[in-house]
Amino acid sequence: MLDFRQNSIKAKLTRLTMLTSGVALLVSVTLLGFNGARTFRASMERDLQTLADVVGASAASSLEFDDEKVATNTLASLAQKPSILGAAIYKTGPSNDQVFADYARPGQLASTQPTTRGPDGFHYVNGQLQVFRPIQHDADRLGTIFFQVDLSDLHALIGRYVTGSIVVLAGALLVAFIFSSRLQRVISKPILDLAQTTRVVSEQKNYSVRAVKESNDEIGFLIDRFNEMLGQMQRHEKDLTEVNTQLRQSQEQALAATEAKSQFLANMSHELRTPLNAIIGYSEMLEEEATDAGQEAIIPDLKKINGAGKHLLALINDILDLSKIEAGKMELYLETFDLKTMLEDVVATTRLLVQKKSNQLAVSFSPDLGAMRADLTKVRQALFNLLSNASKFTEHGTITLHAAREPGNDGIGWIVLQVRDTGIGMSREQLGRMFQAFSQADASTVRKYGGTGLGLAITRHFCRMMGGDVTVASEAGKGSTFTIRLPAEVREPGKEPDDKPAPALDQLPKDGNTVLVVDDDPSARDLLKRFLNKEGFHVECATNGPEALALVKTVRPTVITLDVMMPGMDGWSVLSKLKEDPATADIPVVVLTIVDDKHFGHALGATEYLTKPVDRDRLAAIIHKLRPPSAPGQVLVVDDDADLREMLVRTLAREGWTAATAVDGREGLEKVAARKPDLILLDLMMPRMDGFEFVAELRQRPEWRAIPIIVITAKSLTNEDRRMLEGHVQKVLLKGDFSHDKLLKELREIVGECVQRARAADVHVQI
Amino acid sequence: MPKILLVEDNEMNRDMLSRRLERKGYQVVMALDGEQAVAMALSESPALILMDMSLPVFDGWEATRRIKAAPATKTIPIIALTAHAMAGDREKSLEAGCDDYDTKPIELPRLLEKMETLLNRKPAA
Repeated sequence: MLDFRQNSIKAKLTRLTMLTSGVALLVSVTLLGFNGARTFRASMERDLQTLADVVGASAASSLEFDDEKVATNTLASLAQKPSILGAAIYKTGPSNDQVFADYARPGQLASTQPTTRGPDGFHYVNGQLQVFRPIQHDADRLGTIFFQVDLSDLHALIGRYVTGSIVVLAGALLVAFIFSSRLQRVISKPILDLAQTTRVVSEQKNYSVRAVKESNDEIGFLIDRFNEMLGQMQRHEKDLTEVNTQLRQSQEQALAATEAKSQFLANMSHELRTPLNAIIGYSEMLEEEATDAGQEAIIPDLKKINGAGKHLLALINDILDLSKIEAGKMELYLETFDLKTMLEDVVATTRLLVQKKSNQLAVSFSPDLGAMRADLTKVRQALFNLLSNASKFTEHGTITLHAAREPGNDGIGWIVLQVRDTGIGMSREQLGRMFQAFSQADASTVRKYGGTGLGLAITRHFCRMMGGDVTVASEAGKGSTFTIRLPAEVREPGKEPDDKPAPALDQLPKDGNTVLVVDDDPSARDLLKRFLNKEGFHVECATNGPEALALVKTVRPTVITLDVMMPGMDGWSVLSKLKEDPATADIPVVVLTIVDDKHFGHALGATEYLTKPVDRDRLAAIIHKLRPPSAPGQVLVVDDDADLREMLVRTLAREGWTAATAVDGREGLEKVAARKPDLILLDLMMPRMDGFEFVAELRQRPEWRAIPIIVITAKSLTNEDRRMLEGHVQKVLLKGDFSHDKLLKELREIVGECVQRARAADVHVQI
Repeated sequence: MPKILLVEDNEMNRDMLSRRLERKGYQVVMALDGEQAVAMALSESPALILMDMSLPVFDGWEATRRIKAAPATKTIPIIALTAHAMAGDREKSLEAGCDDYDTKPIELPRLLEKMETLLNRKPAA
């Protein structure tokens, strides 16, 4: 009862009231009881004293005359007093007092008086009262009278009093309970109401409710303050909502502005390039005509127009690049390419530039360069910027390009491209602002050497985008060394490094999916193998003709790529042998060669003919085309637009695919659970569960994670949307962006590819 | 001499490129938009088509698709020309069925080389 902490305020108030009143009653009842008992005892003692005096007076003469009989008779009159159990008269003797007469109440076994008298007064012994009272006559003590008194009356009285008190106490507590449970509401109800209000506020976030004030006491004060706080919160919430709305609007405006800026830049680039195209073209044409007509005198001027046009074009390209970088619009297009080929290409392009100021170009490539995966255009542009910079600031000197592969702890390593010149170099201060946009060593540099000063800033951005960097070491007057360091395999931004870019060779299904690569050059073989693996093919390699002819029987490839220039048995002989044997004659052969002799190749039975360096995209297209068509698969169309759904299903059916449909994400998930599709075509804006949620749910389940998804949406995607979908969907097709035919064509291609890949992945899982 | 169909909506570029090609000995016929390009590919039977990509009526990609879809014109090689020197444009052009791709401003020697390669390939295809 005393442990209040866990109880409600109602219970606390009731218990407090009852406890208080209970204790007060108990104290008063106890005090009253004691007082009553004392009064009762005093009056009883007074009565007994009087009676003793009366009996003593009657017995005085009998003592004087030594008349026992009279004394005994006198005592016998005590029978009228039932509470007196026994009595005696002691006669005062010379030595001690002797019992002179005695009385025992009828029913008592014997006299109860002590043999010798005790001291005068009242003695409570064993629940009974003994009274000794002197008998006197004219101040002489004649004897003593003694009473033995029964106290059961007193005890009964006390017992009745206690019982009565308990009844009264219980009744009083009951009344107190009834009253307190009604009266406590005065205090507890406003508090409970306040508690209820706070619950509504916190659970429903409804700041418009108010607690009702019922009194002007402290609780009333509390309610007033609480309501005030609610008012403040309501205002703050409203302010916050307004600010958020404004922020969102500003953000949308900013995004729209960025979008408009990018669009403007794209348009401007087109608009600027078109007239430049004419300027450069006409000046070149006039140059040709002037040469033909023998008007040599005007040729230098025409060359200047042409040169200025090309320079302007380069500047526009730089500014456009930098704007794209600043708008975050610059994207990476990663591809695997042969590093040496790229370097030789750049060197060839810059050779004229280098020679312009009588410089020498020295080139040293380490032999293990091999392949690199990066954005080819950007690597080339970065390197070109460094080489053209070096040529610009060096006269009669040497420019050295050194390329090497550095091992890294991830097993992939780095590509290091170093451009060293013997030009004017830079001071420490100049080095500091080297890579900032619009800054060359100083303003006069621009006049003397030209350029926008954007080249290095762009180079640095490009390198950093690809996970590398460009650094510089220089000494004024001695020359500069710029070093580009790039990962040999650049990762897609935002992707975790543990993403496997290509499935391991052995894990790819071999049936109907094997390409036999025949090439004697190990780096060419390696490059092709990596690339074709990435395209989803299993690759077998042969290093020479006889090996190829032996391997073709055992691996039964779908397609063969054949190098022509091989030692011993050349490609042409391999091709003839393949076509002579009926067992291998029908295997398509793609001839890859630096020897441009298509007629011969086709005459020998080559299916396709590509010149080296191989255009990867074309090779991929050709091999995909030559591969036997995939078996029809199961496609799930999730879209709330019934017309589009029907159109898609009909198209898919025409292509031989079976299609299931769902009107929203939730039904989509049910359909996936019912039968796992090979591919999902997904709308984004749908009722109940939208496409984003659907993708998120689907990707939760490991067994569904591999199902390819193509998003077909009318929604223009925000960056946030893109981030949510990135890595989860194969492709996003915009409904508005496509004509009907185009959409179908795209779909046809992607669906075919995805179904085939999904099949391949399934086979892999089953193995 | 081989007949070239030049599809270009910009008058200056058309004039310039046609004159330069004629000086190199080609016969040049011209179309101003995608629709005309498709019609002339059929009526003129050119040996090669130079196709600008941003065109009125329908664009170069669409024109290429139609030309490559028609049996009578599908063997005519097409070189895409575009001012958008954007990564992805090349893939887009090759996907549409173009045989090669070059960026504007035109570098005539480079373009001529590409044209010659395609013109020589044609009889064997």
